[in-house]
Amino acid sequence: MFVYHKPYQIESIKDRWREAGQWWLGEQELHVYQVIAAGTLFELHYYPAQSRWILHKIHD
Amino acid sequence: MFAHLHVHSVYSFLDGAASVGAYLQKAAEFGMTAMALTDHNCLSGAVEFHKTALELGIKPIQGVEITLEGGYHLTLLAQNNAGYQNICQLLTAAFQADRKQPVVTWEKLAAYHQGLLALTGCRRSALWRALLCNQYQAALKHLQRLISIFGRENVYLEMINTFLPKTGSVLKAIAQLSEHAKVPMVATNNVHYLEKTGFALHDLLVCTRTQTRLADIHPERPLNGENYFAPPEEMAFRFQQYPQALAAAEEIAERCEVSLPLGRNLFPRFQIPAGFSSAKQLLHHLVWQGAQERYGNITPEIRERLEHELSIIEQLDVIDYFLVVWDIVAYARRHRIRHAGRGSAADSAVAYCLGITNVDSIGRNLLFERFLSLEQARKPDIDVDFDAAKRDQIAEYVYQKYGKGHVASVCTFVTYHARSALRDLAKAFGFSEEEIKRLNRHIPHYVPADGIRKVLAVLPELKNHPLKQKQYTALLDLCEQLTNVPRHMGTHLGGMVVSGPLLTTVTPLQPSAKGVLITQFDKDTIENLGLIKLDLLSLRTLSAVHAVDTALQAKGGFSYDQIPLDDPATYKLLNHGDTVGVFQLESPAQRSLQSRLLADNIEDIVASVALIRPGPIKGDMVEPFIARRHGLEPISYIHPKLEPILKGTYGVVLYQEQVIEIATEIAGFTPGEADHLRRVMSKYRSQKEMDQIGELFIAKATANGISREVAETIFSYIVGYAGYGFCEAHAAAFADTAYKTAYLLKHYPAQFYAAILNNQPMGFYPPNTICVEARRRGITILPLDINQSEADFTADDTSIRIGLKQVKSMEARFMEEILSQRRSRPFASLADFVYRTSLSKDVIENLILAGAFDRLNPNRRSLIWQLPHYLSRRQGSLFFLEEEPAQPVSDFTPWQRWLNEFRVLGLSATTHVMDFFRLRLQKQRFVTSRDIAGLAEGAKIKIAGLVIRPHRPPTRSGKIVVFLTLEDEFGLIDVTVFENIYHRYGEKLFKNPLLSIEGTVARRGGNEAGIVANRIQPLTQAQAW
Repeated sequence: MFVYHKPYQIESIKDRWREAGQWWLGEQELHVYQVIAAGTLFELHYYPAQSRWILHKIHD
Repeated sequence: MFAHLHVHSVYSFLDGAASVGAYLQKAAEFGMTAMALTDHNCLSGAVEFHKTALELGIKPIQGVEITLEGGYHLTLLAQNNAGYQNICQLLTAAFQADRKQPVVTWEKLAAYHQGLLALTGCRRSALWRALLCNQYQAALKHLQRLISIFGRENVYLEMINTFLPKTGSVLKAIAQLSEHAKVPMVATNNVHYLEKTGFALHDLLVCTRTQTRLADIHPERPLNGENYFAPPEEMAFRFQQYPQALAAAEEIAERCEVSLPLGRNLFPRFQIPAGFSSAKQLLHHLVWQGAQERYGNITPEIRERLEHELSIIEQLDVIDYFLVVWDIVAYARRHRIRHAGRGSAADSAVAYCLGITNVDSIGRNLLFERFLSLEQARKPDIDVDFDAAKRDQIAEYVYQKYGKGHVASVCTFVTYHARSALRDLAKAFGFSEEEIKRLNRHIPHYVPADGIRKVLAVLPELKNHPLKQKQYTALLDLCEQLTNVPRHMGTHLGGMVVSGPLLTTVTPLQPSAKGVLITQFDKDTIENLGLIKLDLLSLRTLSAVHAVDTALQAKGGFSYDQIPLDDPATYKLLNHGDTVGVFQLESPAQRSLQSRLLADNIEDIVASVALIRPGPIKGDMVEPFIARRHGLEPISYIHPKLEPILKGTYGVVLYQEQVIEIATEIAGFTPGEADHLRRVMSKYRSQKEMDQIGELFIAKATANGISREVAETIFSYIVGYAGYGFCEAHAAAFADTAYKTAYLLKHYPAQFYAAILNNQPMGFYPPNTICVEARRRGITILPLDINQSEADFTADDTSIRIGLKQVKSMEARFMEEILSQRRSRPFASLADFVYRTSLSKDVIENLILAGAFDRLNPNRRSLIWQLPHYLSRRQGSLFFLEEEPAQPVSDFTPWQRWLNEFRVLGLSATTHVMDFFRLRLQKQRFVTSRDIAGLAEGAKIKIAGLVIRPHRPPTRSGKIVVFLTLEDEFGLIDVTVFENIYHRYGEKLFKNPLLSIEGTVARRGGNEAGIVANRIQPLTQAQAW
């Protein structure tokens, strides 16, 4: 995982789920991963339709 | 191989988005060898599931998802038949406690656990709920409770991995529990739809069920689309950490037996009265006794036929069924409840001798095998119509006689059609009520959910329909997926089952909205369980007949049952198509037929009833029948073997029995093959099936010595007939009532029409049309009168008085009050009425607007104005208006009076809407219904009226033709609108209640004239022409 060009090793996956979103408005399916790296909880979003990863949130 | 053990089909009503068949096909594609069906509190899919699964080589495991106390879900699977029966018991108990939110108590679960496996359930189970809240101990306690009821070996911890939040931690906790409590884990996918793409429809169904919109949040709304019928490799991926859970699914599939018992006979044994040693002896006694009454002299032919039928009845073990039906009909006779057997039972001479039907099947040479045959070994299905007012009394007799746990009504599934699909889905999308109305406007009621696009393209009145706009594409796509999907359960109109053992051994029972207990299986599947259905139907015509019979018998010298079948005056009425109100013969198509057929005997009436059906119409039988009946066309038979079969119908294929006889004589079909042909024909859903049977027919016919060309031609008659045709027995049963109601109309029109008005809704025409017809016959329609009207319409020989029941919002208790008060003295004024009764303001207003007080004060607007003042002074009121009512105001205009009266009564005693247009129309040289009779064929005319029942029946050519009736103040005119005119004016035709039509007079060789339309306009635009 790279955050601000700095690599972080994912230590564990705390939780993961998938969301259909507002499909009736054309929203794409979303995969959510809550991961622990460097002692911090990160929330990553993955859009499989675009193969795109986004860092959604850092819990601190 | 993995097996899905938690699957919701469409029988989870608005929570399952795929059919039983679709899941099984997919399971077969995946190579799965077993599957469980676990609908919410419902076993309705069990028979279809069982039969289809076995055909595909898949073991069907019956199951259910119940709701436990606290609202928690639990999955139960039947290991064996005892388990299946216990599911029936659990669901019955749950529904009896609460029809809308059935809940199984722990106590009931403990009482009915045998033969069941318990899977701890989905995310809405007590176990998952506890673990989601990190309450391990609570989860363990719940698990231990299940173990104490089912036994450790019969409980499994259900694991579901559908990528929802906290799934990982819960699955870990479940694994811990499994270790701790020594209970195995099992993997399921809590399936609600077939493919991932089915999620959208499922989400919409959940919105419909929870009365929410897509934009709303609701705890039952699924977060993602992962609850689909996943393939084994996907399940393996999801449970790679817990392979033992996958193995357990296989193990459970092995453990469970096929638990649904089919093919038994659960009909009760009839209680034999003293003096008889067996049911057989009793039946024989009743039949021969009845034969004596019916025939007098029992000829060898009659004896042979009755013995043949009795033998088959005995071999099929349905003696008790006939005795039960005989007993019900005998009860009706004892209590003077009018009844008439109908349908294929009229093929049976035994049924005739038992008094179940009134059709002499021996005299009519009807085939018993159409009703019952050894080869088919189908259960009998006898339909009996009863006086609608007394049908509930008959049902109550059956309940009392056989016991409440042994009698139930059969359910029916209310499935989605175009309009309901549009309404529910549009609502879920968040469309406004106004928009939903607009989208549904003018979509015909009969259109299936996947037929919307077709009618939008074809029907001219939908030319500019908003659904054609691009923004509704997704809505229409989703609607299509709802074809034949059941929305909710209802009650079959007349179907009842009676069982020897308790019904809950084979089906759960639940109360309907009206409180009647219904099975969870419908008429198509109930018989597979060993139950035989009786159809005890309501027929309002019989109520009307009873009313007339009673009234006329009181005057002396009349009996409906003694009506002669050869009354010339009645046939004259029929031959003029003058049959509004006559059972089965009053539609425009029937009236046109009567005026061409010129019936002069009851056989012609039997043929009439059968002729105006899609089968004979599409098969081009109608015109040849009429022409040959009148000797205008020679009768020829393409093969001599057809002559004895078709002689009675002038060489035309008219009845289903004739098709069976043709198949037997020409192609040597066995009774079973012939019956299969009949069923393929009557359903006609599959061209492929029809082609296959055609090939068989031709092959067997040619083997029978018939040339291929002749065989193909004969089969083309059968194909042309396909769709729907009547069986002769059914037609004969109906013809008896049809003729006799025509007799009543001819000789006692006022009493007959009053009876029809008292038993609405019934028949083809609305009450106003009945009044127009009555007036045309010289009967005076007397207005509603608060001091003269009874609750019902009343009649003497020359007039009909409108009854109080016709007033909108009128209730029985109000009518009782009015009549009771009137007995002491008539009402002197509106004030007097208000002070002496407790009727609500709305109902009194409706009485005023209907003209009930006209004789006391003809100014209706003034009465409306005064009413609040009198109501405020009603005895017991704490508050009253001090001021006197205002000076009398001027009355409503004639148009307003008529409009108000029509709105609250649905008819008008003295004025017809066309009265308001007549002067103007006369100046524009419009003719009336009275004038048409004297006009020549081809005359060009203009006519106007109220539109009655526009409809598009199937036609011989397949083109669209609309038939409608225009009603004016003098009578009815039938109008035909051919396709080109329909395309041009269809929108106006269906959207306007009053039309003016330019057309030509058409006489199709009969007594009555109709109009063929050339131009159609709403009446208000007539001046523009």
